[in-house]
Amino acid sequence: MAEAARDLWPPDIDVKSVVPPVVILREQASLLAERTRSLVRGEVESEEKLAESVEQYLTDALKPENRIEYKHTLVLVTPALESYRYVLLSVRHDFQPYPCRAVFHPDPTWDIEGESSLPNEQEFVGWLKHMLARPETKRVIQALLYQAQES
Amino acid sequence: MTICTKGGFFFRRRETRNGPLVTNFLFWNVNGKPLESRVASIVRTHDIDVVALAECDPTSGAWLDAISDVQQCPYYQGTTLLDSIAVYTRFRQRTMEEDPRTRVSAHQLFLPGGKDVVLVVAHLPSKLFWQADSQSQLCTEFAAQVRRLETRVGHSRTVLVGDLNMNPFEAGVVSSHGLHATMARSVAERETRTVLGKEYAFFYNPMWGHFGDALDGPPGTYYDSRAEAVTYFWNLFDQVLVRPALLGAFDTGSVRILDSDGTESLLSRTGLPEKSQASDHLPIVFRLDM
Repeated sequence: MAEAARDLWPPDIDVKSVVPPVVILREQASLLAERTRSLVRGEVESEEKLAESVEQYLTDALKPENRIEYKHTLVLVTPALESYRYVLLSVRHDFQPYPCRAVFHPDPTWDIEGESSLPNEQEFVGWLKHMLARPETKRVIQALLYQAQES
Repeated sequence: MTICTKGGFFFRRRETRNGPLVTNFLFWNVNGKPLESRVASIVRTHDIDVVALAECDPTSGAWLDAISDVQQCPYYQGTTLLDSIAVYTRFRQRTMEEDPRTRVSAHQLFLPGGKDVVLVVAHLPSKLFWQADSQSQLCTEFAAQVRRLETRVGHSRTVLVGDLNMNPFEAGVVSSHGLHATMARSVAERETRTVLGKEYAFFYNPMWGHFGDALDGPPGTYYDSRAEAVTYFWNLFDQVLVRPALLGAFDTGSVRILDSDGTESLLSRTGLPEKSQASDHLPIVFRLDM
């Protein structure tokens, strides 16, 4: 009788141990459509961000893991307004989902350092919950809902 | 917050001209001033079809009323949730996307000639608040946004206009990772350039030709004489960039920096932008023939 394979991997390595920002954003995007009867829905756009300059690219080439940065953007889409899109927030991270840096786009702060640095999933969820409850978010969604129902 | 969709989504075909249809564009950063009558005067003088304004209140109906009244035809405003950019057109448009962080408003214009054009209006962060490196970094994101818009509509007939708060020679405007805007039409006609294995589409930036005194008209669109070692005095922050797909319809000579609204000067007696009666920026006009 064959012996069971010995699992030498630590217990905290599994697919459920860390939920990346993009999955959390997609969940919220889907929930928004349910809450608004699809009048306003969320979409998550993802892209792999390139180095910001040729010099940066050459520097990063020596450390390939640094070259990869992922950016996920939550966009509010209103089909009734000819698919009008409003960019609400974005989050970026390197090859690991956390820490991540997130920015709330309607924030009037004109400071690039206005990005929030979030060390883990819990902090990101807390930040996201706070931003989705911001008056600016509610006003945008209410305005889109009103206009969608009018059209 | 008010959402604007004045004029609805119908359009009225222009009933003039044979051959390629001429579409005249105006961009002006009005500096938060109620310059409706001056905008209307420019619209009348240059027979403007597309009015793009920055630092204006898009929820005010006064702009639309002034423009429509002076031309005696309806203009249309797309949906907007931004508080400082407005686009008025003589024909159908739809707002594709708005981003309050970059202050970018993207519109699909359905020109009477049958083809549609993507108009991206931008008012990027000021040098008062952002360093050049930060502006350049934002341009990388902005350029990616423009590419996504083009993918969505399936073409690159794109006009980018606005107050970029950068001169045409700055990295964010020139870099392949940024807006990738070149001074020469012949270079832009190559359409793309490959840098480190990746292909980047060009923009053509005709504003290079407007530096200094070579042409009639002001030496720039924005004057700043701050007391520091390197000062350009006149800057070309207000720019129009055109994708190669539109070069055949774009006359470089049609780009003008206005020093008058057609009735009154926009300059002071010393030849600088008249900030009290107009704006600290000068307007630009240009034309597409398609």
